[in-house]
Amino acid sequence: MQESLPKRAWAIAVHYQCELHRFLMRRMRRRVDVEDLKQEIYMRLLRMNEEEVIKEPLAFLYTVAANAVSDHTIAERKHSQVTVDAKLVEDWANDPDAALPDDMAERMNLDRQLRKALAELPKLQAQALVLHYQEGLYRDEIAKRLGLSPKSVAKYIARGKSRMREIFWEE
Amino acid sequence: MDHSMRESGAHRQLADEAAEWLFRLEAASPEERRAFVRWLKSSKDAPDEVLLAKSTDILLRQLLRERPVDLADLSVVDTNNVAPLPVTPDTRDLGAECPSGSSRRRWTWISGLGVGIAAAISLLVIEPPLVSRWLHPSVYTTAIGEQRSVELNDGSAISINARSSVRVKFTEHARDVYLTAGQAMFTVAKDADRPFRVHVNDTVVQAIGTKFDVRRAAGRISVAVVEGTVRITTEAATQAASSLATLAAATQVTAGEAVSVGDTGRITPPKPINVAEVSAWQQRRLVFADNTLAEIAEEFARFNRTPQLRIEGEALRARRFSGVFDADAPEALLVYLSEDETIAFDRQGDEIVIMPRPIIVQSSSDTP
Repeated sequence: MQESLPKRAWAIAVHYQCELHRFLMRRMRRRVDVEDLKQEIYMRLLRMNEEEVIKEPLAFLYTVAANAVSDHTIAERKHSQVTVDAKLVEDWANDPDAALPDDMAERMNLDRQLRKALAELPKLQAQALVLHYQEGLYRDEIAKRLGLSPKSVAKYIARGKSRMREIFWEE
Repeated sequence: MDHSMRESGAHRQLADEAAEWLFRLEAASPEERRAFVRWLKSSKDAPDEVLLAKSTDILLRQLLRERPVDLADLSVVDTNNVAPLPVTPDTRDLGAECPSGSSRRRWTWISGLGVGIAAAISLLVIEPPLVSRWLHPSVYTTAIGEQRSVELNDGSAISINARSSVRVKFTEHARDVYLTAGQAMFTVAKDADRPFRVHVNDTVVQAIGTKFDVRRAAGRISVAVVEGTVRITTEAATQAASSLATLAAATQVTAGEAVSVGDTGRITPPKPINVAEVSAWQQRRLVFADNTLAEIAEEFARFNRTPQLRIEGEALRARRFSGVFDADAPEALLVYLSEDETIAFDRQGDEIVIMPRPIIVQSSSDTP
């Protein structure tokens, strides 16, 4: 599970990233462990060779985080395999909509929140976001389509994103 | 437990900075990257905010591409002009290929729609009385890569894996479900008067207030119990025993156990299972423990229309591997296999051929 960076980091990281991504998804519901994990990721990052990190900072960050999550998950399993599983099953049985946030219920919920938020945003802001994320357009293209300056588009996207971050991770 | 997650001004600023950095890093000079790393190390919240910002990006893209929004009025529309993702993942996108995102699914949803309509139509033709229950279809079919959960009117729930089909028939006296293809996890609401039975061909799995997984693949039926107890009978077993003895002849499987039923209707003795692994597919994770490469390829095919994995050579098809994979990232399997020096790959359009390395690769002349 230990990889030499950055040579094959991306190839391997993409594998672990899913684990990381799932953890982040879960984090939305289960606030437990977040502080510990934050600390762990930070500490690992501080220990890394700075010159190496600078070459591909994001690759390093994701890999470090993915490894921390992965180790964390393994430790969790080792400590209490039975209870963790039983808890999961029990939660799911009690409230199928809440306990396995990775599943469709969670995404439908996010989808609903996203749509609601888009409706509430100023129209140009919402359009800029949709053009960027849905149509995959860049700033200049969006500016042309909406008749705005690229600078405003950047601002709109940034604001829209900031709102979405709040919705996804805090509400 | 919740250490006051309230948003302070400093926190908000950090979040905005993280988003800004993500944007700037796309074309950053070494100096800028250095500045970014310095910023990253300035607080333990900084790396976390980058992760959240990136995840927000991914979520937005995935959600919007999965169910596009109409620009003009920003209402939901179904659109057909979405192209399938390229086979090669953009490795720089954290989680872009991850199950919970399922950007890959956006086009299978569309084909899933077709299957759904087809199923609904056949329902009308075959069972006219069901027309009155038009709004509560009793056949649930999923396309490649598509998963869905349905809640039944008795409070039970079925999570249906990709490329699977389930028919539900509830009466006053019984709750019968037919798994006609694929795999599903059943969470059964208690109802003493109406047994809940899952039929797979001639095999019947009867639940006793429980949660269990049933899967049919490669001629076998596997039943894994997560919670409670199920009782399994097969046509063969029933015929062998007198009808009164049927109950005794039934195999009882309890939580943490699994059995499988072969072509002959023989039920294997219960063996212990890892409950988390049984549910793994619901998180679009594939867990293999000593499975053949052929089985592994079949599982990936359940989730991915492309690339198709073709394995050459019986010996290689029968070779066994273990590992945990993302159902939506067959590429990860290839990365894993590529560490084995006896295995070679060849990409032919949408198909990836996995073969033993000693074979001399000829220039292919068998194109149609």
